[in-house]
Amino acid sequence: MIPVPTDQQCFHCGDALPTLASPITVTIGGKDRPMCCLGCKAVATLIRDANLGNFYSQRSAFPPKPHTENQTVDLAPQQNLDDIRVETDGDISQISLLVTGMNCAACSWVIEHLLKQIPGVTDVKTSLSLSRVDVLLTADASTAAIAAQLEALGYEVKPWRSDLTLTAAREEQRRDLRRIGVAGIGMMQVGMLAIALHAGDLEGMSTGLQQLLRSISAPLTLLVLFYSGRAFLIPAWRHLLQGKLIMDSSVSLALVVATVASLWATYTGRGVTYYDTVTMFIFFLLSARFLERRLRLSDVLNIARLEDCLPSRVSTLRQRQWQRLAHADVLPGDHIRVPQGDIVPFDSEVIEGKSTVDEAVLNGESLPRAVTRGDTVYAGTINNDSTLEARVIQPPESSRLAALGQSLQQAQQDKAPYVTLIDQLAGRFVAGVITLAAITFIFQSFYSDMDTAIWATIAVLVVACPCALSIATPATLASGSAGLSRLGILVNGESALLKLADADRALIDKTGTLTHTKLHVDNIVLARGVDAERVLALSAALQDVSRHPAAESFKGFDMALDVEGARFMSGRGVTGSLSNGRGTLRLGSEAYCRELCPTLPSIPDDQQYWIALVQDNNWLAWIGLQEQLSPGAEEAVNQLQTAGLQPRLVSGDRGTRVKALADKLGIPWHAEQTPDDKRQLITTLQKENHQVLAMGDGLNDAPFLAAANVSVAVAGASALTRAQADFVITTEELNRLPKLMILAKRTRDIVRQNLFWALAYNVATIPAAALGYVPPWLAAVGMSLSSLLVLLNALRARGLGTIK
Amino acid sequence: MNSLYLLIPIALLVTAGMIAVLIWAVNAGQYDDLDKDGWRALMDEEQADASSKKPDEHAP
Repeated sequence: MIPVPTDQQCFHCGDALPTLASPITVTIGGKDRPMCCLGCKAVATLIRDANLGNFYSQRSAFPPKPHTENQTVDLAPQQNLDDIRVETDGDISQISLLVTGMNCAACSWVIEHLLKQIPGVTDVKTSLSLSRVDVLLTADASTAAIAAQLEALGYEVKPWRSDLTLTAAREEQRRDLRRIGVAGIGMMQVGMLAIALHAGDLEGMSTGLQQLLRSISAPLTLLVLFYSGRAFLIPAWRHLLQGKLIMDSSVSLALVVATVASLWATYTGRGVTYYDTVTMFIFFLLSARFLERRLRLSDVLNIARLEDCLPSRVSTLRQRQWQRLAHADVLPGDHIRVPQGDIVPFDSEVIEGKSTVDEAVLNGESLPRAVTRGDTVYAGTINNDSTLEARVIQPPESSRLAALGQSLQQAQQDKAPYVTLIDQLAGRFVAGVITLAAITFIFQSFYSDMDTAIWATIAVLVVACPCALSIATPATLASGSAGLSRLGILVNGESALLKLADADRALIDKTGTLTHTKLHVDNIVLARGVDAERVLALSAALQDVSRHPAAESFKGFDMALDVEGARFMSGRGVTGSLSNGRGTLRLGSEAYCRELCPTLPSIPDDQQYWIALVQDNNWLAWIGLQEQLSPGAEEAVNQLQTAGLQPRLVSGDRGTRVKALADKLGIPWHAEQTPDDKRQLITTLQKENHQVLAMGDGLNDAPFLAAANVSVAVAGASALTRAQADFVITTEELNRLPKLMILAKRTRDIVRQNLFWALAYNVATIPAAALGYVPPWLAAVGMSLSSLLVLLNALRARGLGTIK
Repeated sequence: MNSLYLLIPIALLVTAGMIAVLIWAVNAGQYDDLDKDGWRALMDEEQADASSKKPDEHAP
C-alpha cells in the first residue's frame, strides 16, 4: 500500500499538520507539499535534491519523523562506529549498522542512494528484514558523515551487534530458501519425467524406457526428500521419540511410504511410482510455510532489548571533570548529569535542579511528577523540564526498569502455548490413516493376492497424504497477514490471527493506547466577571515558553499580545507580567499560584489535571486538562463490547482519571495497576478459561502483553512492547481494531473451511484407493487440485473489499 | 528415442548446475533481503529517466 497523505497530513512523515501562520512546504513533483515541521522539510528537500523524489510515489509506509527538538549532535555513537570498522580488502573497510525506522523497501532504497553519494563510500547493502545496513568505504570516508546522513533522514543509528537470534534468523532464512530452491528444481525435473511416464501408462511405453525414466527420477527424488524434506522428517522423528504425533508425522509417513514404494517398484520393475507426488508435495508445503513466516515480523522485532531504551553515553563527573562515559562504565555513587529532554540512565537521587519526570514508561501515569533535591528518579523515565544532576544509587540490574524486564521474562515463561485446530487434528489423523491402511491390507490380502494388497495399502497411504490439510493453515494465515499489512497492521506472533478470533475477554491500557498522551483543555472554572477567551489567550501566551507537557494543550489558541517577560519555573508553572505594569500573572500548580494569591479557591475536583491562573491577588480561573481519546477509540471499544469481549480499562494511572474515562466509554476499570498487577489480572481470567486480548503501548505494558493470549500494540509503542505483541497497529487510528477483529474471524472461518475440504478430500479418496482405483497420475492430479483449491480459498482472506 | 540418451544426461547436468548456482547465491547473501530488489528495478528505471532529461535542460 502506498500511503497517500491527506491535506491535513505531513507529506513526509504523515503526522497531523500544525496550525501555523506560514505553512511549511516543499515542492515535489511540481506541487507544493505540506510539511509538519522544519525537520521533515529538510529531509524532503534532501531526498528531492538527490533526485530520489520517486520515493514518495513508491514507499509503502511513512518514514520516521526526524528529530528536530534535540539539535545537539551527539558524537558518541559515531565514535563507536569507528571501533567497528573492519578491514576487508586492502584499503576498503566495512561497517555494519543497525538502523531503526527503516520501514519499507523505498526507505532502504533512499538510504542506499544517499549514502553512495558520500565520497569514499564504495558500496551500500541494506537488509530491510534485519534493519541492517552494511557500508563499504575507503579510508577517505568518515563514519561520522555516514551516521550524520542517516540521522538527518530521521533514522536512528547504532553499531550492529552480532546478535545470536538475528544471525540465527538469517541462517534459517537461507536454509529455507535453499531447501525450497532444491525442491523446486527437483520437482520440475521429476515432473518432466513424470509426464512422460504417465503418458506412457495411458498410451503404452516400452518397459526399458519406463525403467530408464524411473531410475533417473529416483535419485532426484531422494535428493529432494533428504535435502528439502528434512524440514518434516526431523521434527516428526523427534516427536515420535517422545511418543507424539504431529502434522509433520503424517506428512513424513506419506513421504517415506511413497518414496520407499516407488524405489521398490523401480528396483523390481513391478508396481507404481509416486516420485512426482513426493517432490511436488515437499515444494508446495515448504513454500506455504515459508511465506507464512515471512509475513510475520518476529525477526525484526526481536532485536528490541530493554537496554536500548537507555542512553548509551552518560555525562559523569570524574576527577572534577564531566566525561561522557559508556553506560556500563558508570557505577553506583557516581555523580551524573541528565540533560533536559533526555532519558534518565540510572535509578538515582537528585542532588541539584528541579524538574518533572515523565514516568509513563514505568507506571502508565499520564502526568509527570515534579522532582527536586533528594527525590529519586528512575532509569528509563524522561526528564522533562530542565537539566538535573543526580547520584546513581542502584546498579542497572536492580533498577525498577530491570524489575520490569524480569516481570516480562516471567510472563513469557508462563505463557501457555497455543494449540491450533490442525495440531489437535494431527494425532487423530495419523492414527485414522494407519487404521484404514491396516484394514485395507487385511481385506485385500484376504480377497486377492498379496501383491495387490501391498499396492492398495500404499495407495491408501499416499492418497491420504495431507497436502491440502497441511497447507490450509499456513497459506490462509499468510494471506490474512498480507491483507492486514495493507490496513497498516503488522503481524508478529505465530498463529496470531487464529488466537485473536478465539479471544473472549479484552483488557485495554489507558494512557497512550485509548488516549493521546497529549492533554487538552476540557473544562474552565472562571472567577466572577472573567472572560474564558481572555483566560485562554493569557494562558496560551504564558505557556508559549513552557516545556511542560501541559503547555501542548494551549497550542492553537490565539495568544494575548499584552503579556511580557514570560518565564518558565521548572516543576511549578509559568510567570509573566501584563504590559504597562498592570500586574503579574502566574499559571501553574496550586501551591505556586497560592503564593501569589492566597484567596485561590481549592481544586474543583480530582477527575482532571487542574492548573490555576492568577493575576496578583485575584484568581482568574481553574483550567481543567484532560487526556484526549484517540480517534476511533470509542468505536473500537463499542465493537469489542458487541463482539462480547467485555473490554475493561486497566491502567497504572490514578483512580479518578481512569474512572472518568471508563465511565465515558461505559466499561469497567482497574486503576493504579503495577505491571505485575496487570499480569495477575490476566492470569486470573485465564484460570477461568478465558482467552484474553491485551492492548497496550508503554514499556510497562510489555509483561502485560506477553502474558495475554493475544496482544495488540498501538502506534508509538516502545520497541520492546512491540516485540511482545502479536499485532502492531501502525497508524494512530484505533478503529483499525474492529477491522482487525473481522479479518481475524474471517481468517479463522477460511482455515476451517480449508481444513474441512482437505479432510473431505482425503476421506473421499481413501476408499477408492483401498479398492485399487487410484493410479499414481490420478493421485498426483488430485493432490495438486485439492491443494490449489485450498490455496485459492486462502487468498480470500486478504480481500478486504467488504471491510471498509 | 535414441536422442533421449543424450538429452537426459544434459538435463541432469543443467539441474546440477542450477542447484549449485542457487546454493552459491543464497550463501553469498543475495537473497537475504527479499523485499528491496523488486522495488529497485522499478525505481532505478524512473531514476534513469530523470537523469536523462538533465542534459536537455542544459542544452542551448
